[in-house]
Amino acid sequence: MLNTHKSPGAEMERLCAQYARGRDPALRERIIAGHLNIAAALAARYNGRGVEYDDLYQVASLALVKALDRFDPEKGVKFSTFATPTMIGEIKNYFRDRSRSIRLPRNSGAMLAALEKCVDELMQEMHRAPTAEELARRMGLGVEQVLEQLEMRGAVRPVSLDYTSQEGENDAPMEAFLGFEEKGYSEFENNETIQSAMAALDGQERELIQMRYFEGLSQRQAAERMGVSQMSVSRMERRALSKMRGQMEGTDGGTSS
Amino acid sequence: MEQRNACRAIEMKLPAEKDMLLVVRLTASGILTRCGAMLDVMDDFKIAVEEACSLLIAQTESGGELHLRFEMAPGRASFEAHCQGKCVSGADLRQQETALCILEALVTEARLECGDEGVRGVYLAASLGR
Repeated sequence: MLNTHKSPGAEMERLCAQYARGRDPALRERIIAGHLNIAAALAARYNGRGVEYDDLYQVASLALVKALDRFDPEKGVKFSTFATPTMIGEIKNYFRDRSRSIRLPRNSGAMLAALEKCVDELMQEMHRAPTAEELARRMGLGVEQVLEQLEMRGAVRPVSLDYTSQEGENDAPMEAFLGFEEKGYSEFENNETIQSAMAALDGQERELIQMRYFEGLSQRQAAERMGVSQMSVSRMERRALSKMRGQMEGTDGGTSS
Repeated sequence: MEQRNACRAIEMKLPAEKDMLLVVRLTASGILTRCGAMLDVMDDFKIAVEEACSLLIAQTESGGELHLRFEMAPGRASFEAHCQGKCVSGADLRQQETALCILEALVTEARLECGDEGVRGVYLAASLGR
């Protein structure tokens, strides 16, 4: 087993040392760009636990920038070696800070909440993270149950509608799998209903409704086109709508003309 | 399961497919629990194991096989993975370096076994001391 494969990062390490001496902003950008692949790889590795990839990538990228600002080549550590644990730490903090945002079934939700509370308590008592067995003992559960709950922690956060599983080439976002109301049907129905209601109108009223609701003209524009006053148009429109409403409700809503 | 040098070991053979990563992760989780690992160590180890297997799967043509070995020793857990199968052409050195960087940050010891065609094996060890 060897770690001695040819390193494409050697040049980058030289740049990091150079940056530490001069703090050249252009060099800084180049170094960050050269290490974003690590941020991307980490975001991918922690993906699927209820936080979007883009958020994880952003958290890791910001940590990368912070790491570069703190990096001291005199310590004898490669920048990538220094920055990676920083990025991992920031991602873990991000997970820790996020609260659960959807409801689980009562039992699971309650057990998970109890488990998280128990983890916090044990950490405070022992000044270290507990083991699964210690957690199980404290909670009076089996170790398997605790492990199940731990695995479930990743399933309690909602997935974005834009999320694609990236397992295959033809994957569509989650949104594409949701049902939706077919607008065409209701448009067709509405059109039929309106056409039948308009049959109750006289020629001038029908022309007015056409201008107002199908061509989008204002009452003033319709009045100009019809050569009548806006007041007349307003009255005619009210009468026409009343007739149409009556027709749609199955009664004659027409009043005196 | 096999007894060797006071270590207890578990060996597995799996298809070298992404879908198998969950199986590997859950196995790692169970084994580290048996070792009495702290949750944060367990979490890091699981991520490292997944990263190692992903690297090997990415470099193996479909139909290949992953040979895994977990060892439990007092205060220490280790994991070894090898790929059996044809390599995809062109080793991605940048990907290997990134993977190694991540592995080294997550576990006590990480080594890649590199051949002409790319990474063919990964060794990881985590110290379980408290």
